[in-house]
Amino acid sequence: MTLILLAVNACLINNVVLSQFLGICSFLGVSKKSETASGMGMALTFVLTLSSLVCGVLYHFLLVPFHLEYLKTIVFILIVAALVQFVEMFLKKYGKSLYDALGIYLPLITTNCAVLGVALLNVQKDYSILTGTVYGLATALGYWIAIVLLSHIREKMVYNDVPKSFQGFPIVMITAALMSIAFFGFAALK
Amino acid sequence: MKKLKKDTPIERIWNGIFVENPVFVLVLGMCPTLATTTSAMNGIGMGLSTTVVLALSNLLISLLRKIIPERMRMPAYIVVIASFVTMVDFLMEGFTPDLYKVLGIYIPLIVVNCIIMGRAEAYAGKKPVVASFFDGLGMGLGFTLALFLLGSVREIVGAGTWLGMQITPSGYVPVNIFVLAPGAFLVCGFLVAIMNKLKIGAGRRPKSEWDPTEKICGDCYSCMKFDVCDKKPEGTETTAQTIARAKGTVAEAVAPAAAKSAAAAKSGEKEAES
Amino acid sequence: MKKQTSALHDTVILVIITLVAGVVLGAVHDVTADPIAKQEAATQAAAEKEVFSDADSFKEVEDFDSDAFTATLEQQGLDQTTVNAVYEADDADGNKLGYVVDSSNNEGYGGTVELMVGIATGDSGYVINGISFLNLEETAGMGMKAKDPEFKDQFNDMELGDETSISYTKSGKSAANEIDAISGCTITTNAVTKAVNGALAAVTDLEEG
Repeated sequence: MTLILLAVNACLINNVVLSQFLGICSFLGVSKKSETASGMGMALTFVLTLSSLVCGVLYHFLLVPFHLEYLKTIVFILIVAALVQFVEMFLKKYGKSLYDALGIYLPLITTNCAVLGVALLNVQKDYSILTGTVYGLATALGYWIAIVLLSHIREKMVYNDVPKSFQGFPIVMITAALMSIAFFGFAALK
Repeated sequence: MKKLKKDTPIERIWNGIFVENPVFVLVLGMCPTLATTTSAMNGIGMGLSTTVVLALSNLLISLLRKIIPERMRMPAYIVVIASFVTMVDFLMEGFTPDLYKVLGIYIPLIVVNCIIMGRAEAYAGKKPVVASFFDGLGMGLGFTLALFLLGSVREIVGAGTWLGMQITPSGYVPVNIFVLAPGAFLVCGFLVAIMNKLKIGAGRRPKSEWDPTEKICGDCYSCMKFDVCDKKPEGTETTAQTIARAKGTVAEAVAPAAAKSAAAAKSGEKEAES
Repeated sequence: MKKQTSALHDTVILVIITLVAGVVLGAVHDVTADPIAKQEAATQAAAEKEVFSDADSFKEVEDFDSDAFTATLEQQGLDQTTVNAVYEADDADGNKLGYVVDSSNNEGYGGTVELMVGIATGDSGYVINGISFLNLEETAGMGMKAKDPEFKDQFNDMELGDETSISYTKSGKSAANEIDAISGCTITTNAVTKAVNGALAAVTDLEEG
């Protein structure tokens, strides 16, 4: 029950992009088309869940017993980078269809702040490995929802007459602001 | 404006603050920019911590540029940057605990700030030590300035204070939403729009061609392994390519030798990419 | 372009860089560990002093079992609340004046709300001397108002009389054990109230022994 609450919280109420500002780069970058946005969301869900699990395991069974907690930042980022490479190689060899779907997004994920951010938040909030993995999954789903919504809005926005100064980057930011306000509504779920 | 000599300390700092301001011109490092600017003071704190990491990692990477093997650049840079970030993290926890608490998780997240990796790859990995150091310093100060500006607007409108001092008349009811999440997006969008209008910063670029949100091929990481990455979405054009096509200024400014060497041109792409 | 080097050479260099980084970090960690620990101790001491200014010294109640007590609280209907530590507050002669309790509640808007409560135990019932936040991740300008004197000072010298818990109200407080909620921030107010009630329950538990 607590896990479900946590998941709803991470997914909707404290949405990773719209209220915690993690993963903004790709949120703005690959939200032009709904197809690519969805692919990115899927790839991130995959990597983020896996990396929360691996980082959690390594932190609890390697860093803590040896009192090396202070190396967590450097260890986590290297794990994430290595993990992404590994997943890419693995999928290329054994999961052709999945690789075709996610392959192009994997290299973009390594330094998506959301991945490292979740790993660090799990430590900061003292989550167990299971809780941390659920949190990672829910966060990624929140990202997926947000980026797909934004991409659909942007596809429609092409037909709008946007003032010249606001074309491109500014109007996307303002769209994101309105989405962020809309997501405030989920606070009532609490 | 008179042309400054390339790669001198002053030129680098000027470049970082104005010509290639990382936030308003290159649109890099948006996560901390939006997340930590709830007040002007937080903006300065985040900006300065990033500046320290940026200047020092640029310095060290430039020192090690002959030793680090070509193929091992990425992991080596990551290790160097993560080390400096962790040091800053400790120092802040020990000596500025209040600021540390406010900035929280965004301090370790400096590691994945695209600006730092971008500069390491595009500049420090190729240029002399002194110039690299000042490049990092300039970029960092430019970043600090942008964060300060954003933080000031949000704090004044959203809380009625500036740097903690009450500056609005007592009858003014602060518009809370500006210090909340939507305010960050809103203010940032409007600031860039104003710059577009005034034709400074991002607006100096050929506008019809320039839209970072559609031209960057994804995430910060793409900039790092851009030249070896064959997984880019089809038909993706980088900002730098677009600008180069439109004979813009940024690619030249980033890679002075762009015309001479294809490698240097690549670095320009990676730079603007990130 | 640099000359292509052998994989072994590359690996060795990367290992060296990583090792050096690790060693340097270890050194920096050692150097800064002391100031960080001091800083934490100072924060702790300041918070203790702030919520119980009459007391002279504080000593941790050793046999307090935080995990077991969390379960007890849940049975009493105070879920998501943890009492992390209890300190006995003594005057200069070593006489017990009351307790300082470090308790937290997970239902804050932005996460865990952790606070210190000073509770004086006398013949005329509990008196809350004040609260101090150790961790507050609420929204700036909204839940963060919990830190403002307007809200926080309600807990200064709050005489509970016969009551052993507090509650919040949105329509102006009418009883000694009530506080006014922060307008628009019921979630934060609720979390703070629950944390304080957890602390009160812990004190009751210790007093009745």
